[in-house]
Amino acid sequence: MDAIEADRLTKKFGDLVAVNNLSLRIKEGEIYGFLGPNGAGKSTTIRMLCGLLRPTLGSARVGGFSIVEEPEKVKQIIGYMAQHFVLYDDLTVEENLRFYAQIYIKDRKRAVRQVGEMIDFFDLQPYRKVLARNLSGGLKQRLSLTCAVVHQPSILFLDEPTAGIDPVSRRTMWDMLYQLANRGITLFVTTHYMEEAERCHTIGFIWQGRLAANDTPQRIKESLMEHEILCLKASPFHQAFDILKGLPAIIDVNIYGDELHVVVKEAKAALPYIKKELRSRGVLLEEVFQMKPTIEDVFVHLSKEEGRK
Amino acid sequence: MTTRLLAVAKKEILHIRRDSRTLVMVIFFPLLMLLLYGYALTFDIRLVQMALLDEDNSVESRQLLDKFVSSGYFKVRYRLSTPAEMGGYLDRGEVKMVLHIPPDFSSQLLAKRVAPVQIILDGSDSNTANQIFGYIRVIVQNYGRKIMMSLFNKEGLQVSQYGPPIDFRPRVWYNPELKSTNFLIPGIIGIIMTLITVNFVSLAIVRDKEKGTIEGIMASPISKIEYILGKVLPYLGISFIDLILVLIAGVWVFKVPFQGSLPLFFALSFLFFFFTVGAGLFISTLTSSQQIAWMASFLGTMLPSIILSGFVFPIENMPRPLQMITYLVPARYFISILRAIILKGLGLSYLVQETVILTLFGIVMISLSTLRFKKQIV
Repeated sequence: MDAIEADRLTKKFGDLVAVNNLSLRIKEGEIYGFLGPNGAGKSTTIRMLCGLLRPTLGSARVGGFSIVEEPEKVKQIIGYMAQHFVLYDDLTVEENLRFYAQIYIKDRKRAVRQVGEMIDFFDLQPYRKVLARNLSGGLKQRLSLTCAVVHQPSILFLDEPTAGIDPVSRRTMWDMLYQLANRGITLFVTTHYMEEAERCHTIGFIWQGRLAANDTPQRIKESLMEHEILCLKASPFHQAFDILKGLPAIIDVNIYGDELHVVVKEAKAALPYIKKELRSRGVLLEEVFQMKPTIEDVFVHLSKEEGRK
Repeated sequence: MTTRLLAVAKKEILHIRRDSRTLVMVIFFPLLMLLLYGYALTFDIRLVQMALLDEDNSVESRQLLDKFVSSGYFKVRYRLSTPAEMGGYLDRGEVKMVLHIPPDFSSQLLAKRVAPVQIILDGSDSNTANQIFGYIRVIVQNYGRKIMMSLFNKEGLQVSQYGPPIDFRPRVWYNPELKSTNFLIPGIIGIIMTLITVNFVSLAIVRDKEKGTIEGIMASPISKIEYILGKVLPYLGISFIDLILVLIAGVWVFKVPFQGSLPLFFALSFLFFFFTVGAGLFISTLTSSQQIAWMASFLGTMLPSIILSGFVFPIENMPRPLQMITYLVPARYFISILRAIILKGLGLSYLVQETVILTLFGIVMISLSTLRFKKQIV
């Protein structure tokens, strides 16, 4: 049985279609990365799957329960970590955990034991008596995660768990997510950090409410990029960008820091042509090489393709 | 059910304990309101400042003045020597009235003719002027009767023959001293309890919405009844503590006589809280901003219950359409219950109508708001 099966899930807010005919399947124990730019419908999808929002059309089964007919049963077996910090900042770490444990676990003793175990598992021992408002951003996220799994859910939904925290905390967060996955929990993670996508078993890319791609990171990169990518540095940088954008043989140009990623049909054929064009207009080409497409290239490309449709 | 409910209630108590502002609001605000209203809002006239122009300067004129002063309601602040001075003191508001005894007062009186006395009253506050006027009439009439009797006595006539034909012995029930605080304090208790319970409940839930913490609750399997009860119970407890505090202060500081049954007082207050809790819940379903919730609970419950409950303004004196509206203000019934229990010592059998209506209001409000309260975002 699949942990999550969504079937033509659709959510409309008035005239706005936030999620459009979204179908997907996620296997048990998988880390599923759900990617897309802001406003693409990530949070709406996750809220529907958690039983917080009723879909306008379509349905989904989460852990075998229908999100439309039995949302309260869904809520019992899932954990949900919201996008923003939604814990009580005037309660201590332990009080927050106890509260969530007691909401999910009827047996009081088991709830208390579970809180102790989770505090150990997530290394929160030193912060037990600290008010949540005094925690650093990374620790807040860790506490949110702990609260979301304190009742040992089988499926965990995380809405941008790494947004706005420093790289070290992000790494720790992913280590913890892997540990949870090793325990057999299915993880549904939204993010807009592209490099995090490669850490997932499967990724879905949502663009304007539609699921534009849904596969392993590797296969998405192979199948969707029938093009090749040249990475180049040039000065003046913006002039180079403008020139390349205007060339008919070039499919797409995108800026990545101080580099330009140029999408072409065939790198070998395009290279001399690009060199010639830039030189003739007085742009100095500092460095150029062919690179493997990253997930980010794929998604930028995908979103432009989808936008053109 | 109870584990979750208790978890929510326990958490709410932690919030209250951690937030000193809530604590102050909970304990001191009701008492402060009681003291402010209790002291500031009084319709009793204590010392009327007056000016005296006694052009007669006789035994009789001094006797009349003495009647004024010894009544305890009047105080002579200025003694004038010419009628021209009178206007100035009234204009500047230094005195509320002028007592003008003309030169022929005693001679007319002793000649058994009608003796003129002039009173000039500052009528800009008509309510006060009316009351002062009442006092003056009683004093002057009494004095007139007394002087007449002593004159007849001197002439050897039997006074009893000319005594008043009607033996008028007024007795005032429920509030024998006619203290306006006795009338106002039960009303103030009603108003304070309305304000704080509606406010507490609406703010407690809207705070969760405003901070987003309700999202974690909604994603959990807790039922909305468990959540609502867990939220409401601690504040219901606090409301009772406040009720006791305010009652003690009313009886102790303002010497309001508590005549009725204490258990009935608490039981019917509890009934009223059904409505206020329901109203608080209802407000919390309308908005997710604490500020708006505060405004809504103020405008939606405070204003009608101050103006339309008969707390200060008698409902009988209102125009008919406004009177109809007061039937929809639950505080009206609660305040009349409070007055009946506190001042008249009435039992439940006299309060059936009010009790039934309050129960209905409570049931309607609670069901309406529980139905509106959704555990889903949309």
